[in-house]
Amino acid sequence: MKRNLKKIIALGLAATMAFSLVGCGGGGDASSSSGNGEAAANESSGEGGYKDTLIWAQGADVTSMDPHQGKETPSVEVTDQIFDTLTVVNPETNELEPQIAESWEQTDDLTYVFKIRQGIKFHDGSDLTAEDVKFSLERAINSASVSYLVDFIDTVEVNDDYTVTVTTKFPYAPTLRNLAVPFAAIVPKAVVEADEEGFKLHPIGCGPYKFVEWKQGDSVTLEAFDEYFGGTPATKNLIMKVIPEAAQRTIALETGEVDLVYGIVSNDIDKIKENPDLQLFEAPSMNCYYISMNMNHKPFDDERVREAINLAIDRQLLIDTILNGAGEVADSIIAPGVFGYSSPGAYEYNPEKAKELLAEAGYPDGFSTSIWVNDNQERVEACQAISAMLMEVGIECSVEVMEFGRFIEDTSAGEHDMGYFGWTTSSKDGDYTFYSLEHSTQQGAAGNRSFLNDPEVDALIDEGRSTTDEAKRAEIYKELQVKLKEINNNAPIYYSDVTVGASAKVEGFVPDPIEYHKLDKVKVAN
Amino acid sequence: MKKDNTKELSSGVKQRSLWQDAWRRFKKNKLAMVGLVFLAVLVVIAIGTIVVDIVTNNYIYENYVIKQNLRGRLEPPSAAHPLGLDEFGRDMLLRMLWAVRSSLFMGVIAILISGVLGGLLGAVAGYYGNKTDNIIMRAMDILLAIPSMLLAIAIVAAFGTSLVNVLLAIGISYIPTFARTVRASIMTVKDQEYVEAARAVGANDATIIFKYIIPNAMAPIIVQTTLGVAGAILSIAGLSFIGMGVQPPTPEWGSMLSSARTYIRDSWHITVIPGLGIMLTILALNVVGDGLRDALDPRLKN
Repeated sequence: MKRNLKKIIALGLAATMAFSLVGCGGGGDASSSSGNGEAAANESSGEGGYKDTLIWAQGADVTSMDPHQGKETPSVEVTDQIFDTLTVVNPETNELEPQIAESWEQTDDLTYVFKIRQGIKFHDGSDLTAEDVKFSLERAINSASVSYLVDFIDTVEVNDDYTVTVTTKFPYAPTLRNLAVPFAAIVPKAVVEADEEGFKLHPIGCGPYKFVEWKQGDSVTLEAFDEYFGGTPATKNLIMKVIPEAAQRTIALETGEVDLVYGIVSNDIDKIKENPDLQLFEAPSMNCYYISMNMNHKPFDDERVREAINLAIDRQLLIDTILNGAGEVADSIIAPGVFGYSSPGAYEYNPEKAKELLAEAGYPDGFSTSIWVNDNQERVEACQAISAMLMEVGIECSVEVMEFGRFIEDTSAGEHDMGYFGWTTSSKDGDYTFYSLEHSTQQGAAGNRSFLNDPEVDALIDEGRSTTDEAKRAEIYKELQVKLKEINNNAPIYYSDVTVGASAKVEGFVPDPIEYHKLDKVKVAN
Repeated sequence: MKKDNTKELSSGVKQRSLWQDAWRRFKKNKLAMVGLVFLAVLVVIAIGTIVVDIVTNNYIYENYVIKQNLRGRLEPPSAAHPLGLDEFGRDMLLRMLWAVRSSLFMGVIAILISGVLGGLLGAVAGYYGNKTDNIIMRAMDILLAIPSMLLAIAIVAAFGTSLVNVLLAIGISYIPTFARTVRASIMTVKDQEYVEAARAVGANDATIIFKYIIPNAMAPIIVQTTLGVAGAILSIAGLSFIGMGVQPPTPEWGSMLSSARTYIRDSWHITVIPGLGIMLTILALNVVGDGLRDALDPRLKN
């Protein structure tokens, strides 16, 4: 064994020496061929000193390749490369920009006329027309998972091949921003109608990257779409690798196995900052981590129990320890950067009062319950800490860890007592979150997993979404957030930052506050 | 057994039973003795922690073993906490001690389940032979075709994570090994003269199996049990590692290892210590098992 190893090393050395000799002889490209074998291999396939493949790692797999179904962040991180939307929000400037629609006009409170860019091709070579836009938006409206995003739309009419008129049910202020959210994606009508199941397995869009392969639970491979209307993507191939363990993701980045890593956990942040070969991208997120209490299950139908749980959680302690300080205490279900945010007052940490409330509610000795969470180390640890905090007030709470797909499926079906979720306000407008998480019509897959059904809350949400005056909307949301804090159906825990680790060779990456990082301008130097 | 004694009497200096003789030979094996002492210490710890829990009415367990102290998380070993604190600020030493019982007792109980069931099936198969033997052993072969860990995972996944299910899962997955061992050793003794003699005086099958055959076929079963417990402890740790065994916050080496692995680069102590716990226990059981095999093997008599 040892002898073999020596032989191999000797051979390797000999080969390297031979290479460098040849390099010196060649003169011109001496510097490029004196490197090791791996670099040489990469160079031959790359162009202009850049790699032809970008590999990124994320913690969970795609739940569905159908953009009108897989709305969870790990899914969109992939499908956003395949599909485009009518409008798009610039992650740096937060300005609305045209994408599939080259221009638009609001003719009255309810009517928007979009001019579709001509010459956009889907990956199968067909042209994108107004018919596809109408079909896609209607398909999204009928999807249980993403309907909340677009159900403000009353009708979509095709004026001609490249003009579409969208009429809303009521004056809806965030219309254009909602249409920029990736799950309002435009899909090819002909392809989806011909074989919907086939489309879900082999998605076809008009975005910068074509779908190649999806190995479930392992990886997704994408290839640049040369006819992309926004210009040929900078890197030819994209590979997404699923690496559930945060520590493994960081190690993969350090060893150069991957170029980009989403979701760097707090205890690895310093490691990346201190490593000269790596860089860290940070952006304030639109993300809130919260516990949803299933109001259909006893004893969470009792407001006092829900309030007791909110009072029993020491949020600051959780952030200081489990998160190493990388987060902010949450006081509302939407983050401060979202339109409509207004603090209803910080959540108090008061275990004594929590115990009193439990006793009042008829549980002087507490009760036993469970909290569900997906298999993400940081989330699991947060839940274990929360479970210990609940134990202090007498609530025996077991932590049930499950795979992400099953977690989403079972909590959508309302089988949980409590669930630990992260929610991103993708349109950066409060309505997006209030409507999906708190409105009685959005129970289950859409997002309302506390199964809240409160006419007053519904009325406020409806009023907020049909008002266009910003100041008035802000007033309504202020009242709504106070009301939600009284209901206590959710326990907002903290707001986190978006953290992306990258090799120092990565160029052109812009972190997106809603985590749907676009990769078509990203290059990796050799 | 009587027969063995008389044999010993005629060849040996003093009258010794098979067990005394085996013990004498076992003692000579230094490594096995170290293993035995280690196991004895573990048993004392396991019983000791149970006694402490009863005496203090779980006070130590609730306030030190499972109670989190987040501010002190990942503290390295120090005088106050010789093995440091874990990722939730709990004392590693106490958690290690309290974890002994789940590993040790669960391992033993799981093997008792498989020992009794597998032993019974093996005994019946070995004694009756023919069709009975064929039916039982082919069923065992089917079970044996499935890797025991996989079978255990399947059982837990199907019936849910609970202590009883984990024990049953591991117990069932070890049945074939026991059935085969018992069957083989029964077949070697069932044609012995003393068995024929028992049959001749009209003893029924149950009496013959339990009174004359099993005691004389005990040696390989004991060895198998010791090694089986080692395997079972490893399986429990493995199941807990993947989240299907003992659930946190109950301390268990496998689950401690699992939740600590994220911190392996920053806080080595919380991964290395439970890992060492598992390793040393398994090693001790294997060494003892080997020692027993040598001590009980009549061919290695000196």
